[in-house]
Amino acid sequence: MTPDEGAAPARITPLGSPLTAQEARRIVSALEANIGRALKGKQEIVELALASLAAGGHLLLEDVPGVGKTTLAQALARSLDLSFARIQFTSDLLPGDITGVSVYDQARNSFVFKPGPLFANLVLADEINRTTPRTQSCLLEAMAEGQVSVDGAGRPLPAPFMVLATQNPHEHAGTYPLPESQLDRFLLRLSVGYPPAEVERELLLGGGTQLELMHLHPVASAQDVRRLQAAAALVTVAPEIADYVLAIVAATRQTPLVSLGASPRGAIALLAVARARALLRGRGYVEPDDVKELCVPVLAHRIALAGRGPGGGELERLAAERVVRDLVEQVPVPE
Amino acid sequence: MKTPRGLTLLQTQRWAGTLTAAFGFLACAVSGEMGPAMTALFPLAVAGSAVAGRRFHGRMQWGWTVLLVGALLVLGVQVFAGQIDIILAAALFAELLCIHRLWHRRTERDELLLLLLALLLLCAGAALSAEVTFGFAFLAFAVSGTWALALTHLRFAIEEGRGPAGSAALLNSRRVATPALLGGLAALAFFGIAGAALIFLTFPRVTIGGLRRASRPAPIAGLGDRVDLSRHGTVADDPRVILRVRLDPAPRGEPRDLAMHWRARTLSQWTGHGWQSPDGGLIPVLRLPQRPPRGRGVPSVLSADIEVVGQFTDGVVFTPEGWPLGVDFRQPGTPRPAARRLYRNAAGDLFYQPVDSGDVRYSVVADTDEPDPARVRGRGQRYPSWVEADLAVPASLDARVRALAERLGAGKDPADAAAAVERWLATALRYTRDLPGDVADPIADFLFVRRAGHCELFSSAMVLMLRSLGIPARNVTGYFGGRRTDAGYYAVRAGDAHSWVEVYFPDAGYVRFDPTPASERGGRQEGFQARMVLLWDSLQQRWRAFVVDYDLVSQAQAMRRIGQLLHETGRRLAGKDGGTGRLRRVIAAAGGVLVTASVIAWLRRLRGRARKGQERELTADQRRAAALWRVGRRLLRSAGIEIAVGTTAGELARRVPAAAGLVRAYAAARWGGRRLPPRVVRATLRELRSGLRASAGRDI
Repeated sequence: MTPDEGAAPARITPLGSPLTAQEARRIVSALEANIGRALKGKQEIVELALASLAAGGHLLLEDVPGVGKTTLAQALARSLDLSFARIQFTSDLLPGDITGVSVYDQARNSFVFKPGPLFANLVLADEINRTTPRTQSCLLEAMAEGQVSVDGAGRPLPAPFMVLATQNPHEHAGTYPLPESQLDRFLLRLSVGYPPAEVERELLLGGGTQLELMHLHPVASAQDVRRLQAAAALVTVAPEIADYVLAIVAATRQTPLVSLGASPRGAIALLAVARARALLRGRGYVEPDDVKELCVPVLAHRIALAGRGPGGGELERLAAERVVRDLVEQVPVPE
Repeated sequence: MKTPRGLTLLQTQRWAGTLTAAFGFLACAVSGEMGPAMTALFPLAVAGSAVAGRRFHGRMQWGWTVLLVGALLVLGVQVFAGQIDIILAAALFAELLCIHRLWHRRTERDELLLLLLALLLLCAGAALSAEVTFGFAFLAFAVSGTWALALTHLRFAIEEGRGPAGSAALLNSRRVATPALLGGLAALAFFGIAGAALIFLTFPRVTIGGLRRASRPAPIAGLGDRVDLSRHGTVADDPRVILRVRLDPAPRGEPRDLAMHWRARTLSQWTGHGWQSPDGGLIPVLRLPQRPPRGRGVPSVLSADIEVVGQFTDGVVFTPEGWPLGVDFRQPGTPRPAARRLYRNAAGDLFYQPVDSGDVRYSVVADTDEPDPARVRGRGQRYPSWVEADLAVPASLDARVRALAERLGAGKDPADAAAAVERWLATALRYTRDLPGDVADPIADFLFVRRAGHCELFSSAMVLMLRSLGIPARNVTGYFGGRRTDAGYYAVRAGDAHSWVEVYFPDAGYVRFDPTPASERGGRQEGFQARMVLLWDSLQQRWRAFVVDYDLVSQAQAMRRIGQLLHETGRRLAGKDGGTGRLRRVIAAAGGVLVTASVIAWLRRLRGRARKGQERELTADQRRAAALWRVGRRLLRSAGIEIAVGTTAGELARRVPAAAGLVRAYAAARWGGRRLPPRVVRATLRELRSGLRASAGRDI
């Protein structure tokens, strides 16, 4: 975004001046290169993860084990100079295990709060569907409002705060599918997918990703991330683009293939990610392409297909993605 | 978002300051007292500051100081020497300070000082002239001053809040000082003025006119005390207003043109080429001479409130038709004694003294019952000795004039003879504005050679012909007519100058005869300039009545009138006054029209808003981008490329590399608000065509 004539009208600068489009592009290229060293051949996924970060949203990675979900989260955390915590979700995990608990301090004769692993900038919630709905639901407040309530007191989480959750679509036994309210709080749902053959070969012959991860150094600070998020919110959106988003969301609600269409939160999320992606690509404005290409990762997990339950299984996912893709093709692009 | 046009915030702010200073100066300049040099200096300085002001900022400060101190000294000396008065000196010095500030404007202090100096100039202008032109300058000052104050504060608040680097974009933006903002500020200024005017009209007035000064004396000779008949050229129309007359009772039917002789003075001594006023000094008048006893006739009295415009005063008291009964110089409504006294000369013409250049206002009461020729018939020819001067016939009088007079009037009663001569002149001769030029005997030339002339020749010929018959007669000058104005008075213009005849009859006095054809008396001034002069004059009179001379008395009168009006309206609406159904109907109809109009306006606004929601406003660049995209897609389709409704520009560019340039230019302008000049549109389309041709060639 440049304040030259013809561009957006002059805006009031918020605290911590937003990055310009050029600055954002510079930081993002550095991040992409850094993460790309650990997670090879997945530029698109890296870009979407960064878009989610810039839009201030959470990420749901759905894929089989061993394709680099954890690597992506760790590479992101290391490249960003952010605190990182990993929570392995199991069926016996309790809410207190992740939010933290108050323990009695004899010396002070009072209860002292011991923060749990959730108090980190970047939280990897591994195998999130393996834990009970009780524990899953304690993530709701954290993801939506950036704070947790323990013993009746709200405790703010650090900013930026981002949850990267993973789940394996192939296992059903002993899992608790995520409720719709939880799914709706994930900005994007991505499938990492197998790496290209040559990358996989390189993985076998090279030193492995773990070594690369150890050598990653931060290329952006937490302040940079905050400025990136501020800049993403200021990306210009023409009224016709907003109409386009609305038309797409309306299409998911009207089609008989879908029993539950995308929520208004889904529409807001679509536009927010489109803004973030435009900024990541060095643009101060959103194009219809930004919206169209992000429809599947933003909307597919938010709809319930007619005759099927939400969010469960690989086939469900593929079907939902297909429906969204087909619907978007029917919506006229603004000119 | 429209394509930005117009001035930036910074430019608008600077121009508003300059404009305010210019209107302050104009308020002074309209008084005409600043002199040509100082009047011309200001526009030159403004132009200079616009061109080179920035370059001079902060330089040659000592030079300016010397200049200003020098000017102050010179003005001080002039004031002490009594050459100019102190208000004018202050105005001139304020002008110089204003010019200095115009050339040195950078900080907020400079700008505010400039506005303060402009305000000083405006105040000086109020003291220098109380004319309506000042009112216009004041209005303009109020509007531009509001702009300047608002924009100056805005500008420096921005600079302070964002620093020089941060504020540059905003100060150079053309979206801040939009016509909407300026219009809103102007409306605010007008509201303020309207409120002030309301207070002015209703708040009890304590004093006015204390600062008012008499305008500069610039006497222009009105009616001279001699007339030369053998002049060259033509009688020109002169639309300047000389008399403003209000008649009581108002003339019946309030005609547009008044048929009234405004008598000024007698010219009874023939000089061979014209007339001059009789010898003798002025004597003070305590009481006007009584009218000789009439036979029968209904006494009727006319009061004429006459105002002589300052430029044209020369001490003569104008009287309407009829026998003047009294002249009153006291201002209507003021208890102050009159500053002027009435005099008369041997011929009975009325004068006043002292004579100055200000407007003179007096009221004349006259008995309008004039004897007609039939009633003065048979009075014989025994004239008193003091009319002998009006019987003098020049020795050089052409024999043909005498012969003509005798043919028309010999042996008749003087009244009949006078009527016969008057009728013959009015019918047998032609009126023309062309002057005879240098002729030996203008009367003979008029009667027998040209047989055409202007009013002075008609009246002179009649006087000389009657005198040759032994009937005392004299030439009288004055004005004829009066045009109604919308400010409620009749205006007599300089071009209405006229000349006629008075004939003496024993026991009846002088009776007026006018040999000039009735349709040619006075001026016929209908031109655009004449209308504008009248309009301006009536505007000035309103300004004077409602602003300058608006005092406690007029305020009380105005309030009483408003009260009466309200009372009357209320009474009529309440139906207590019989036969007022019409008023009720009119008000009901007006209310109905108002309601209908507002409903229509509201509906239109709603519709407009709905339409605006459908088709959003695009900038010229965005419209061009959309048009480029449509043309580009048509080209691609005709090249056999399929484009679905859901296909985005980016997808198309990936599919058809030749369209990449098109997509780039389109997307940046359409969605990013970048510029897209028509030149680029043409180049893009050219590139697309050649790209498509190349790819088509490859396919084959």
